[in-house]
Amino acid sequence: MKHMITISIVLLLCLVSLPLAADPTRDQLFKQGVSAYIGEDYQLSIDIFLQLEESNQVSWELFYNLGNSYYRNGELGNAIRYWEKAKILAPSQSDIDHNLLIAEKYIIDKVVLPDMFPLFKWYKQIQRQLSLSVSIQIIGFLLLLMILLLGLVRRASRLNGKNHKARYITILSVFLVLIVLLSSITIDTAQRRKKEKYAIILEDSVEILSEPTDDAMVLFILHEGSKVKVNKNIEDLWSNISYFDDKVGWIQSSAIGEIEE
Amino acid sequence: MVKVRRSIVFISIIFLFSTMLWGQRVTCTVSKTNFSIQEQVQITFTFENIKNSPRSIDLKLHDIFSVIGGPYSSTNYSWVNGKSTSTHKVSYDIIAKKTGKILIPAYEFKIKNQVYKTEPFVVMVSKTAKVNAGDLSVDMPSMFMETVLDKNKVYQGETFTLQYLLYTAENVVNYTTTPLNTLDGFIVDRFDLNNSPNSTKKVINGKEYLIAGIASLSLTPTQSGEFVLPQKPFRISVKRSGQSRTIFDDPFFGTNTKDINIVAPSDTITVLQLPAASGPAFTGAIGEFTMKVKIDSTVVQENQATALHVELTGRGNLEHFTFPEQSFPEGFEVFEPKVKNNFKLREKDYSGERSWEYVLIASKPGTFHFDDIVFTYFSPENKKYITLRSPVKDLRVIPHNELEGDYTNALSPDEVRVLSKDIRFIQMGESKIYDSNYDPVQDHKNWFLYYIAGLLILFFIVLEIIWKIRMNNMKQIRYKNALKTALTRFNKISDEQDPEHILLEIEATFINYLRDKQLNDNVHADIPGIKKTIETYKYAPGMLSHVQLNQLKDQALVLIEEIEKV
Repeated sequence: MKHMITISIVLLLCLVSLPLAADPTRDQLFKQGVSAYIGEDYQLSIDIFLQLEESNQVSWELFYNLGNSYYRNGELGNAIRYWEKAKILAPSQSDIDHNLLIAEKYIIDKVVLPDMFPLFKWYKQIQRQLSLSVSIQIIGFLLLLMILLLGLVRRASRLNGKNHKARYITILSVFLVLIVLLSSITIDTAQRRKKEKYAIILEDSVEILSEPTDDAMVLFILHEGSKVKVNKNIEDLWSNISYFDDKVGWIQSSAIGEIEE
Repeated sequence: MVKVRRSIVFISIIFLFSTMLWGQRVTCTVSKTNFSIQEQVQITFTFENIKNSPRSIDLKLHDIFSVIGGPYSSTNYSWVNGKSTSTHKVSYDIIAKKTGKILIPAYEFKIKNQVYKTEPFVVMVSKTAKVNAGDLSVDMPSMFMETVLDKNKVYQGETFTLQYLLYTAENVVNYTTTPLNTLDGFIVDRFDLNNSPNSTKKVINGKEYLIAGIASLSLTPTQSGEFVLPQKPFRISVKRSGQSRTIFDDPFFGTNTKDINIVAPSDTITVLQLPAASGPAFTGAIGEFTMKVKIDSTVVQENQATALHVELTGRGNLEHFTFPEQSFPEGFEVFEPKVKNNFKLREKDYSGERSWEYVLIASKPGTFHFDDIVFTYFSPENKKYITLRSPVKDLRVIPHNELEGDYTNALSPDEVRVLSKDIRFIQMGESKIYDSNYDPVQDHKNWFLYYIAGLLILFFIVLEIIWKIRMNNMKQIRYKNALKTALTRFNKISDEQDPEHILLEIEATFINYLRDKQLNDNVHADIPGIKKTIETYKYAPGMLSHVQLNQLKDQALVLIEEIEKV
């Protein structure tokens, strides 16, 4: 019985840790993109990395390198867009944060927001730093640990013939609080990502209009690199966007690059 | 008559003039024409009946001879038969550096529009001295100095160094001199008294000398022409020979040393004028250089700053020039460059790097093209001007934001430094590849631990069920296992155990067997008997023997066997 359990666990672990078979063509192409970047041929490195993106296989490194190439090519909007994409896949990568911080200095539209309540700030920070995959895995780990501990306490109580009620309550309360908290954050993040779409302004300067027509009234102007929330799209021609919730208007879809397509 | 008188006067003048010129000559002689490389000889220039003759002479023999003394100057006047004659002598002590036939060239002197020339002659320098043993080191001083120039001809503005070498046959304790801070026609870059010089040995005229560079002088000429580098006096403290250390060596009573004043000879250097047509990018740099140009960022916001770095690396007169003025596109506020120096005066000249950091602040948006950064220097090796040219990337200036408000103020130096930070380098490979439609919720790998947790719950539930079933059928299980349990426990009993412990174990096993089998004392006639025996033994634990206990165990086993048969 014991052997069976060990073998099953080992097999399952092997299955999970089975690495993706390395694609030599992709690897070669990636290296070509890196070489082009090092050789300061940024347009070529953009072309190569975009070709890799079109293969429907992506990585945070690919998006990060695309961001760098666009930045060096003087395309701030696209650079920010790809760094944001990279951040979704690897939220805790400090290189992405650093580059976004540098890029922020060149964004013309800057809004200074009032300081958030510390708890909200902390909540937002966790949301930003934890990827959905990692959150799910952490909750799973906590759940597993909780069950294991409860099982061990139960076994001890069977052997001793004593009732360890206090221990059950402590383990359950600590773990359930953690699991519920983390699950709420994860569910909220997942919901937001599903519902809310963000995009980056790609053109130097764009007029945000009151209606989805060319002769509509100009409400405000945004510049390259600014992040906006996409509320809805009309036939891929016009997008209704909001800038920091209070400023809403229409923009031509070609002027923005969505972060999650 | 008048004609005759005129002719006489004319002839007399010519005669007088010719007598004046007669006997005016310059000669060059050497104290020996056949000498060894180790020998010190004297070269003497004799100016006969020439007024305003020079006090020092450029020997132009630096490659062949070392000048170790001089110039020594002396003048001699004499009056013979109403005629006055004057002889002025200028001499130098020299030592040959090479062997073989050496041509002492003809020296030309232009004095008061009159040109005087010496005759060239040949001297023979051999490897070893052909002198008698008794003559050895007779003429050689115990100490002398030599001035060695690293170059005999330099260009105006080119840094060079001269070394003062001390030749000594005595035990030198210390040496001092007055520092040289100024010299006409030169910038004094450094006068360095070397307190711990390296020394070498050399035998000259049979006398062994220790040679050490005790001082060096680095100069940069500011004018062109021929310059005499003056003599430099040194005070050398030497230990008195043949005296052992006495109480008088005590610092309170003075030391056992003597001071000798010695002079490093003068030398002559030719400073050449730089060629014309240097161009506007030449600001006096002479040497060999390379240039690097870098701009911090190619995209900046209006009224924000970026920095242009120019770095020069190489060797030459790094201390003595500024970077040529550069032109920047209109719409930029350019501050005075911040200069960073990281060079050192080495043995011959300066080497290292200098950098200039220009802070540029764009006042209007657009894309700006910069002229190439140009720097011209004179290369003494190639004897020509070399121009370095480096392009600068276009700079894109983004207009400032209406939403943010005031951006009109210039940035502080700290903010400029922050802007100088660049993005981080790209990633060299991919660690994990996802499908572009990747949804972490649908990825089974993320749920792996949940599956394990589920299995674990199932496992514990099964365990609990088994436990419950066992608990419900405990009587039956015990009934079934009664014999097995009893036999196992009896087998574990051994003679090595304490008799009291054995008695308790026999009692527990027997009673448990009866309980598991749900039997009372009436089932078999021997049961009460065994129980009684056990009770009896309990009252006399000290009297028990292993034989008695083994008998009791056997009785119990026989009884169990009989019960099982029934």
